[in-house]
Amino acid sequence: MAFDLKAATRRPPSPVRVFVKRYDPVSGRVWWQAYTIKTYKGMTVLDALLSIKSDVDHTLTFRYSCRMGVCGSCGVVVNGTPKLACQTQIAEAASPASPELRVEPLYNFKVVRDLTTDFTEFFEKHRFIRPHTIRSDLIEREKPTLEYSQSPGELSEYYQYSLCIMCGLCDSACPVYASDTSFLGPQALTQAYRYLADTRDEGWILRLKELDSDGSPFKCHFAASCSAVCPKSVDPAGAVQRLRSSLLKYKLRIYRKKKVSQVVPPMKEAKPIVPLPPEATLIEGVDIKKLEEEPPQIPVEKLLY
Amino acid sequence: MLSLLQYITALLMVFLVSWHLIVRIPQLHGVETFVETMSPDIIYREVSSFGILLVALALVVVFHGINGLRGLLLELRGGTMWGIFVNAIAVIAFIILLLIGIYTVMGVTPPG
Amino acid sequence: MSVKDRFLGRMLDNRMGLKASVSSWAVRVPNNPERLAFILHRLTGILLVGFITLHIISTNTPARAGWEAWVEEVERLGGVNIVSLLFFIAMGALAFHSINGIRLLLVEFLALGIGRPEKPKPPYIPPSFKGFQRNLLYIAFALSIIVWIAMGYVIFLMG
Repeated sequence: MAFDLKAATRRPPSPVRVFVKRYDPVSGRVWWQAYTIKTYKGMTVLDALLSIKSDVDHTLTFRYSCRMGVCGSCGVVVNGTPKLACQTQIAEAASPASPELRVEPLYNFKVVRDLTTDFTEFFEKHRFIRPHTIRSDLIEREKPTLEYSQSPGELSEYYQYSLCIMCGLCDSACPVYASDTSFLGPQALTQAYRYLADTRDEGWILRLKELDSDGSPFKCHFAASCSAVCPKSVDPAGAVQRLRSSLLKYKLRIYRKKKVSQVVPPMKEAKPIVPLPPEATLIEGVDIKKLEEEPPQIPVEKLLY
Repeated sequence: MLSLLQYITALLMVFLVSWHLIVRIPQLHGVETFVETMSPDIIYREVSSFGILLVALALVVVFHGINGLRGLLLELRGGTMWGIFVNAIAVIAFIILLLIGIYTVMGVTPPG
Repeated sequence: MSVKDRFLGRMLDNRMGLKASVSSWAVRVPNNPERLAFILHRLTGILLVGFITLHIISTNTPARAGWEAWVEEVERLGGVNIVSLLFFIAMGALAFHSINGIRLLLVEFLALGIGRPEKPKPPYIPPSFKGFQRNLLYIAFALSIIVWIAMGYVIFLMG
């Protein structure tokens, strides 16, 4: 999403009327509720929702965590566009000509209450594409000795797609995901491509075989709305096209994985120790000779699987 | 497999449909108007000499159209019965339209 | 009490359905002409399936009913009337669907024109919007209108 970089420097109109689409799960009632709030320079939609909750109506329900576009919890639809509430300035969404905001829960998700949406289906689909590297060297995987080699060029092939924060905005904007429940959605397919493009991953036959199913990337029709709304510029549209191209090559039996990286062989001999520059001063009481002979052991708990 | 065929038929259609449109330009046949390019003599010559191309065009176009519409309808609703219904209608429509297309080429007689 | 309430509640399905796939106003997305192209591609596709069905049935006339019926049928395309206008609209749909289809073949079949993956920097414009498929899209819009006008010239002014 291209951000309006100067929005935070503008003063938003005050007061602003915020229309929130609310839902009560017990009675099943859906209604638009209007709140009038006073704004200040730099106020975001999340700030507005928080001020409503603290001052006006404490029954308003929404989800948020980090307030700075890292956790991806606060996805809402502002004036018809899926956005992160914490990254949307009121000055950007409301103008002095129409000092109004329409805040809705994310499209294409189930609504739990008010603005809180249910991500069960979303995470199920993310789990379906196996979001982890698959290796054939089982002993190395269970008891890792050294790291797998990867060049910066190979890293840049998938780095952008690994920035996904799973906010669900792309699935909310997707016109195919809107009607087809079996379609995996831009988020899951992007992550599938992220692991397919990773040279450390060896499970490409398994991945491509599983993707050639009901939720396959062939259902994508390149409306590219997912890329247009993504707050982290992950570019799901590009990733899904690359994934589809790989899948087509696989079906024509011409797909070859470019490279699978192996464990870096251990260094043959220890590199010489760089001597300290003459201007370096040591902390009193530190014996550098003794430290070189007996390096300090820092206790690190090993991760258990 | 069907989605792969959708792309292959699209690629073939780019050539076949442009040929099909270009032969309707009046200057190619030395006539004045668009309607005159569809006079019985010209059409009979086209059908008798390029009959296989016309049948291939009908096959490719009907497949691309029916399969595209089938995918669109399957996207709009889930459910097994809906899938069976749409697939059955698509197969029947495909066969009927293709048979009509083949009959167009096979059943034509010289204009007299 | 609160536990019981939670289980009594039902979730509301907020799927947009047909609205999102046909109307670009249901979901407003800035900087996204691809979505307009998607909607037009879909609508022209539906239109063309109808046209092809009629076209295959109508071109069957020489085999079914003889050449006199064919001449009678073809003459309805001459001049400006409801048949030739509908034919002209179908030709416009064909022009857009085929020219945009060539772009989609490049993007979807060969994954060309969507740029290279990059390290995102502000103002966060995704690489697939900076690739040449965006230019191809504008060219497709312009070229299909030009081809449509050319087809109109052949149908109406030469007809």
